[in-house]
Amino acid sequence: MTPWPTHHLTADDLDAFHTEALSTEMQLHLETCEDCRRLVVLDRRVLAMMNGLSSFGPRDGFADRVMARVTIGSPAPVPVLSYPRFTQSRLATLSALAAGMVTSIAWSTVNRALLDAWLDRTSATLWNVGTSLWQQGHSFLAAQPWYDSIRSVSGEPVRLALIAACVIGLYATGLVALRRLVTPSGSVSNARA
Amino acid sequence: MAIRPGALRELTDQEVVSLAKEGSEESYRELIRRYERPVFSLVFRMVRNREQAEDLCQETFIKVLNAVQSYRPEYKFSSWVFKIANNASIDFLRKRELDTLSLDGSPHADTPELIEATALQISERGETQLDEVANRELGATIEVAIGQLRPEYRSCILLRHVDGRSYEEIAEMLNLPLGTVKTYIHRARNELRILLKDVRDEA
Repeated sequence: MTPWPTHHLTADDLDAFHTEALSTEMQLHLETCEDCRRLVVLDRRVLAMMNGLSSFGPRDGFADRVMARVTIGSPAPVPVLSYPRFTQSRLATLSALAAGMVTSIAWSTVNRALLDAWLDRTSATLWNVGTSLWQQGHSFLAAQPWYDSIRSVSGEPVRLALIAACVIGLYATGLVALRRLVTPSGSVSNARA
Repeated sequence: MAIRPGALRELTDQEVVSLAKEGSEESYRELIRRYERPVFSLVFRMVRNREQAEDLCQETFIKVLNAVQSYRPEYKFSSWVFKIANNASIDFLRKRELDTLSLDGSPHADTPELIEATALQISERGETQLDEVANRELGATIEVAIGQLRPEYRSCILLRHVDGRSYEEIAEMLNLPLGTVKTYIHRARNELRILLKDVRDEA
């Protein structure tokens, strides 16, 4: 009859042994396996030796030598609300501004009909100019040789969605790249200081 | 900002760092006081040269304390300090190319096959005068044995079994996968067992 293959203690079993968490199966194995018992004894001795290692310190005055080359960070400045001082020129400007506003409101109230007529004329002119510019721009675009192909692409929702996804992807990539460029390396992680 | 003498010792690392960020010099000194010995011990055992260890340790603290304003409190302060100290030691060893040219294989080899494939066929590791001096100072046989480990194993096992860091913490500190850290530590222990098997129990 072929015997079952023997499983000796693994590295994890050794750790478990030192923390008294070795499985029952491996405890049974340990009772019968001379090699593993020797391993455990040696490993325990190595760990005991390491635990008993003394600590070393630098020469006296180490802290002073370090502090001589350290810039002590000043506390972060607390933002304080400050108000501008009222000088004569500032007061004069403010008064002129307030007077102008009051005069403007008074004049608008008195000459309401005239103001309405001006506003109507101005808005009509702006509308005409805007419409005319839009029409000219549209006819200019429609005259371009690539206009039809662009229109056919944007006419299909799937293609349009793909293009939009590509544009968003490019934008996001750009943002990430920009963030990496502008983030100071020290603040990314403590790790590589 | 005046702080009662001795009061800083009762504060956590995060609290001391907060005070340091506000410009308290005593807090800077308290951080040095807390970590100078463990950091120096790690670096000394890594580079095995007191003068170099002191320089590297000093550079570590200068780097840490000058960057304290950018410290992120979600990380353990101790992990940050040890990480910088370990990086400094490894960089130093790489530059020195003494211990660095690992005879056991590439430091980047994660699997036994890769380590074997990249191993140099040299039977004995040389020991410099500096190592001899360091070993005399370090004293115990275990120190000599630790000095014979490759630097990656050495930093892992020192952080685990001398400084008491968890596997996860070491993985984060050294930017290594958790499995690699476990492998390094167990290989280091295995090598130490072999190196120390004929040594009588010093205890």
